[in-house]
Order: sequence, then C-alpha cells, then structure tokens
Amino acid sequence: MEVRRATAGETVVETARVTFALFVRSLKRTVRRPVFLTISLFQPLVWLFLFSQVMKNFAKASLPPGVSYVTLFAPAVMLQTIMFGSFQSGMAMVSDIEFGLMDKFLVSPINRTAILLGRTLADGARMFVQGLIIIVLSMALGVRFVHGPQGVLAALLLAVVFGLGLSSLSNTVALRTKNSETTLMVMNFFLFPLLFMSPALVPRQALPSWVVAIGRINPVAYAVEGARNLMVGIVEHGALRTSVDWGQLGLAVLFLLGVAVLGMTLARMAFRKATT
Amino acid sequence: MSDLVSVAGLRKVYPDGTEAVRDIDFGVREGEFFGFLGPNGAGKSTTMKMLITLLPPTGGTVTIAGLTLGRDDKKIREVIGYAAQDVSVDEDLTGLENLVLSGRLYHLSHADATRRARELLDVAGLADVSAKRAGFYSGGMRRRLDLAQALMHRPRLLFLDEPTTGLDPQNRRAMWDELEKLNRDGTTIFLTTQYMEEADTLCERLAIIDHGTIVSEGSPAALKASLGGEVLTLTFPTDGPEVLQGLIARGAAALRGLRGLLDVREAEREVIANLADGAHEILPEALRALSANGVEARIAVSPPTLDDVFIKTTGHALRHEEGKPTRWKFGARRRGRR
Repeated sequence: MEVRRATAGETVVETARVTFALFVRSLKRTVRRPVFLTISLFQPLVWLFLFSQVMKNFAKASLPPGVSYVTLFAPAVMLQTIMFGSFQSGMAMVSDIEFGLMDKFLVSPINRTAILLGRTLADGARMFVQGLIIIVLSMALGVRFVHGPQGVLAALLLAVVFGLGLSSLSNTVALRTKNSETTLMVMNFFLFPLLFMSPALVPRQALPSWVVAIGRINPVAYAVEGARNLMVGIVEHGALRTSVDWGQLGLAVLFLLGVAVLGMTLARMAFRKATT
Repeated sequence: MSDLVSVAGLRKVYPDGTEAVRDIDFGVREGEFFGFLGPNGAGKSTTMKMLITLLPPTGGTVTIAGLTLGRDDKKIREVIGYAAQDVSVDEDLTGLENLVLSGRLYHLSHADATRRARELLDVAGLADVSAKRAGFYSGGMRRRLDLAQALMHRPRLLFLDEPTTGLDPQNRRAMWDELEKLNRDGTTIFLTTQYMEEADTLCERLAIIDHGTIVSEGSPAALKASLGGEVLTLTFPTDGPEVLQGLIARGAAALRGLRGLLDVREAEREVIANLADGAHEILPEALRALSANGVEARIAVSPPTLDDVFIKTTGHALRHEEGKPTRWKFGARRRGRR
C-alpha cells in the first residue's frame, strides 16, 4: 500500500483545521445547553442587582466617599462568573469520555493536541462573552470605567487568562477522576475559600489583616484587584486611583499567567496519561 | 493473499492483574466478514480496543494493512473505522453536524464532509431528521447515525463492537442487511457479538472466544459440522432447581451407554448429546431408557447450532447476562441519559 507522507506544513494546517472543527463543536454544545444562560446571565443579574443591594449599606463604612459598592463589585462579578463557569470545561470532558466521544476522537488520525486545544479555545471564547455580558449589565447600572474601552478589554483578557488556568485545572481533575461530581466538588472546594479570602465581595480595607496577608499568594485576590485596577480604579488612601497602578498590574499579570501555564501543563500531562 | 489483520500472541493484562486476553492468534482476510463470538467479559471488546489503537497490548504483535500496531498507529487509524458498543453521538449536535465533524476528524474538507454526510443520511434513512439534534433520536436512529459516522471516510476495515446490542428484532434485521451490503461492496468487517444468530447469519468465519482465549475458529458451517450429526436435547418440565438437578443427572445417566449417542453432557438446564450419523432409530430406545428410570423429559432432535458448538468447546452455555462493563482506561459507560 502506498502511504503518502504529509509535509510538516500540511500537518500544521490540518491540525489547525481539526482544532477549529472541535472548537466550533464545543461552542455549539455550550450555547445549546440551558446552563450556559443561567451561569452567564441570571446568576450575574442576581449578584449585581440583589447582592449589591444587600451589601450596599453594610460596606459603606469602608468605602471611599462617593464610591458605590456596585462600582467596586462589578469587576469582581465578572471574575466570579468566569471562575465558576470554568468547571463547565472539565464537566464537558467527563461527558465526552462517558458518551464515547473521546474514543471517537482518539481513534481518528488527528493530532491529539487538537482535542485539548479546541476545547481551551472554546472555553476562552465562552468566558470572553460571559465577561462582556457583565460589562454591559454594569454599564446599565451606572458603573463608570475610568480607563475606557482599552482598560475594560485588558481586564477582560486578564480574567480570561485566569479562567483558562482554572478550566485547565478542572480538566486535569476531570481526566484523573472521570467523574463530573468530583470535578465540581474539587473546584468548589478550592475556589470558594479563595474567593472569600480575597477583596472580591468586601473592600480590602474591611478585610482582617491576616486575610490581606494571604492575599499575597491568592490568585483570586490578584485577579480581582487587577480587574478593578483596569476598569474602575483601585482604592488607595481613601479614594479611587484615577491612574493604573502598574506595579499591582504587573504582579497580577505574572501571577495569573503562572496559574494559566501551570493549569495547562497539568491538563496536558493528565491528558497524555489518560490516552496512552 | 496475506491477511489484512494478523494477530500473534496478543495479550492484555490489566494493572489489577486480570488477564483479559491470553495469547491469541488469528487473522482477518481482505474482504472478509469476520466475527468474535463470546459472552460478556470474554475479552472481545478488549481485543478490539487493542486493534483500534485505543488500548496498548501487554504483549504480542499485530499488523493491520501491513502497518505495525504500536509503531504506525496514526496510519492504522486512517484505514479503519470503528463503532463502539455504546453509540457515541454528540446529543447536542444535529445528525448532519455529527457526521460532518466525523468527516473533519478524517481530514475531509467541510464541503466534502457535507456531501458525504448527506449521502450517508439518505442511506441510513435519517435525511428527514438530519437537522434535528441527535438527543431526540431513538435508539435505532442513534445506531444508524453511529454507523454512518464510522463510514464517513470509507474505511477499508470496519470494526464493530456488538453493533446490534440493545436493538429490537426489526432494527437488528435492518442493521444486518446494511452490514451485509457494506461487506459485499468491499469493506472488510470485524465484529464482536454475543448473539449466536448474528454470528451465524453474518460471518463468513468466526472465532469463539471465552475467558480471553480463542476456543475454536472456522466458518459457522464448519464449526457446526465439527460436532458430527444432529443434537439431541432433553428438557424437563419443572422449575425447582433441586428437582431439576436430579432430573438432569438421572436423564444423563439413562442416556449414557446407549449406542449411537456420543458425548452425553449435563448443561445448566438440559442434557445434550450428539447423535451419530443416521442414528434416529435409537430415539425409541432413548425414550424407553428414560421412562425406565422414571424421568419425565421432553426430547428434541435438531441440527447443531453455534450454541451447541459453544457448549461443546467451552463446557458452558452462552448466556446474555449483564456482565461487568468492559474495562479500560476511560471506562466509557453510559449514565442512562436519554
């Protein structure tokens, strides 16, 4: 039998095509499930409208004069939504394994990198749209973005980078346990404490000092403060900063890229282990 | 002509020490309809998963279309198609989208994949529902869609793991017709089944597998002929297990020693014996022997079936009990979502 050897260039193009096909497939699956709308629209609405009303007076004491709770809270809601939506990736992975779709991919002559890559790209696109929805909702609530569209876009990208780290970690758990309940539980187990020990829900000034100290190694704290930094400004000396705090931003970018690289590396290792 | 698939000394030992496949050898010729017949847990699926590059063997050598398993896996994947025991369709995609995605996985362009998908949807009788999500398909429709997925790239060799398990008789019959047509058109097919009738109808040659070993191999006709003449079966009109055990033992004892009866065996619910050629005249004698021993039994004489071959070679009947799920790395099992 004659087997034609594909050139390296053809192989790259072919892998890109397959990745795109798997990316589209993951996206279709996401938007066709009702859970997408719940996580992306209804939950943020509850947080932004109800939770911020409940917290408004409570947080007033530690807020700078003239700064509303919802202003500081909006970037955090964007992050939360992306964070807690990241498990969907691992759960979809478990479902693919259970429904034999993973076997179907593995038995085809594709470059297997495309399987994880297609999923990750779809995760990124989903998170981007989810973030965008919150930004629009926040604007409707009167939140002002001091650094304009560039700031908002940069904050959104930062949140997506963090979210991809988390979705990769959820895939790691999914590939190791092949169980969606476990995947959900493990991720919740870590993310809730990290969220509560960050200045996401309560202004930093109101947090106990030991929690602030933990914040130095808490990626959620970096992500929340980084998003605030780029969207509405960080609270400093009893007022909102009107310029970007580059020092904070630099650290946040480093920290969150680190989480993303770590997550993706672990996911890749788990994928290899599970498929060879 | 050399074999399209040739397997030598293939073994699989799972990490927990279970020997699922023990040193099997067999070949599949180009154009052949070949089958693995055996009960659940016999090693059928494990063998198939090794051949389709999903599960690394513990030992042995396999070549498929001249390619070596373990070295040329990616090229092997290009020549084979596979449909799993549980259908693997994406319920959130439409029938058409499922097929186009499969085509894309085999490097068809979007246009080619769409054209081929429409063709197969017609053949599978799914053209009317091609724009509906597969989640709304019935069991039979999913099976047909799943088979169509495996055919998108016109594989030279098709692996089917229990392709009709869970189908009603009518759908099973339709699936058989479809598979026979595919085979006539030149596709080599390797299927596993636990249904005697399926193996008998479809396979030109089959291997009977039990406890990870091939116990006999040949065409269904040759396997049945190897038993000699017809088969005599005694069944007993009782349900009580102790009574039944006693009847089986006494019935077998009464038949043993009759000339013209070979190899009287006690099975779980019946007594089976092979009739020497043209030994019908012993039937009255057998009836007399039974009544002399006070055994009330129904006596039947029939041409041998593959079931008889199975009992003869393995010492037990092929039953369709729910076995342990096939084990492999992912343990892909359905959760009853419909």
